[in-house]
Amino acid sequence: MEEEPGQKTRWSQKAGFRVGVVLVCVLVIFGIVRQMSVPKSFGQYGYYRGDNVEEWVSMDQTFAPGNQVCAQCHAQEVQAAAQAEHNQLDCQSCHGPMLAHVKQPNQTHPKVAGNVDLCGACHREMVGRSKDNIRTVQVGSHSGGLDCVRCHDPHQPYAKIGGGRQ
Amino acid sequence: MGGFVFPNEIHVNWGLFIVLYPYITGLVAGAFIVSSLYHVFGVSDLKPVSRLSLVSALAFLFGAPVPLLLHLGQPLRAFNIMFTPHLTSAMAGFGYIYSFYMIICLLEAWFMFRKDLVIFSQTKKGFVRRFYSLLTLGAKDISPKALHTDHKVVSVLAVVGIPSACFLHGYVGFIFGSIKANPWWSTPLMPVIFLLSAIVSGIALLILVYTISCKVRKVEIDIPCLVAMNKYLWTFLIFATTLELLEVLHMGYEGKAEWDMVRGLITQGIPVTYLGVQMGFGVLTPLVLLPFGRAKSWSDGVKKTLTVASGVLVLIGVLAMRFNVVIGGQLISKSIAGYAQFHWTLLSDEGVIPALGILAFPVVMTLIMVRILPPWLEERKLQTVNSNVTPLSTRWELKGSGK
Repeated sequence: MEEEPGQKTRWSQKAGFRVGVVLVCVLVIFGIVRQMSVPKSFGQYGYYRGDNVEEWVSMDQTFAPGNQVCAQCHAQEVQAAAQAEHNQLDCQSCHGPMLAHVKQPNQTHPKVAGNVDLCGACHREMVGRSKDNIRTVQVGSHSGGLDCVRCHDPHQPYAKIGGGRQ
Repeated sequence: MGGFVFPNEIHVNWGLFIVLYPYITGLVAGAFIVSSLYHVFGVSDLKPVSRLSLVSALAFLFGAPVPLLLHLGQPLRAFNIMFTPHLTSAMAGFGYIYSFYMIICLLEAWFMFRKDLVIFSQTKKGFVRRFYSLLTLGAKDISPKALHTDHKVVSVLAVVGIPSACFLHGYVGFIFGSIKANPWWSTPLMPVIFLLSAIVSGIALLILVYTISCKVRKVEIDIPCLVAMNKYLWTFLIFATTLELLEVLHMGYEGKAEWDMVRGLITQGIPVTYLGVQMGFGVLTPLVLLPFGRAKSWSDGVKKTLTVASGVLVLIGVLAMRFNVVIGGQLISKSIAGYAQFHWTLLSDEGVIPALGILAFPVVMTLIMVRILPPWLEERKLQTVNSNVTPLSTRWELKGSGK
């Protein structure tokens, strides 16, 4: 490949041309990959995939409409909860999505975990959680590893332990 | 410490990986500026590190996105910012800014090392020969005329590279500086502070890489080169520190509403890493040591020791500065009424050990890169290999010989 003196390098062998070809190839590959990767519906409504909206709409519903549906069969529990601290919560906040149970009450029996993981989601002591608004505890030392429901009835949190705040 | 913190501020979301991102990017920008000092501004004393600095910059550039990709958790999502660019988001600009700078760096390195690549592709054997042959892209003309063109291209790229390097790193500062809800970040000085501390860390890195490489290769350290780096390190350190202090002093003297929070952060939140490591070890000590490291009356050994020690301190100090900016800013609650807490972890959740691994990556890359593109190949050695090669007599070297 070494040149004889006086002989001119062909333009196709010049460094600038070679490196230019590589750059153009990189750009073309980028363009092709981009074309393949960006979903067709991107930008249809805004800066996101338009099909995503359709996908959410067509997703199966899992939550039942609300507490009034639960009250049709579990009136006692709903009534109890309505009078106590948890009255702002939806049943399904703790019990999970219940549409399947509402449709076929005898075939699906969802279980609720009354342990520190579930209750701690709201009641674990944290820097950003004001004790003025929510009763928080250090779950490890407070329950000593026992499930919260051993002492607290979730529908009336203080009923089992004497009725008032301890 | 303590006070009121919003629930979504309890977890410090930008951990050590995000600390490393501006740190590594800064080292890239700094090392590149050093190479430009020789190639563009004709600082001939820096010739021994002119090629080494570019190779180091390139190696660290490969390592720059690693902490970001690992922080993402889903690295492939990184391409989305390039596939569907968003013009109003500074953060989304990273992909294009980084790629543009990578292209500039790769091109400059390729044109700078093209002659070496061609010679290796003719003298090495087997797989290595084929590898270098591939790297030449088939452009094997190393006649004086072609090499002269290469040098012209290198100098143009070096000129284009300076604003690109400034942009790459100034942009990182811009991201932090434009978060107006955060008093510790929000200042238009931030891009400049980041850029200057980047240059500082880059020079310190080169002092270290150069000295270690000389030790390993059993070559005498070029004292004028070391002294020149010492001088630039000292100068840029003064500029960087002035701006860093100016920002805090200005806030304090004006007595802005957020000043109490910032003062609390400095004195109670991050006193060890800010006042101790960043300002004490990283600024004050090197500011005192560096002038002694270039004093004429002192022996070469003392000069080397003082300069290298300062380099190490500056590198640690700038890392602490990145920590203080990134983590410190997240400790101030948006409520301006409380502080979050940063928890050090070893392994999980962007812990110390993975962070050290990320930091080791560009170092390993540098070791590999200097094997592929030996930056210390002297002209004389090349000529004995290939007698057709005429010595490079470019305006850069002529400038150098005049000094």
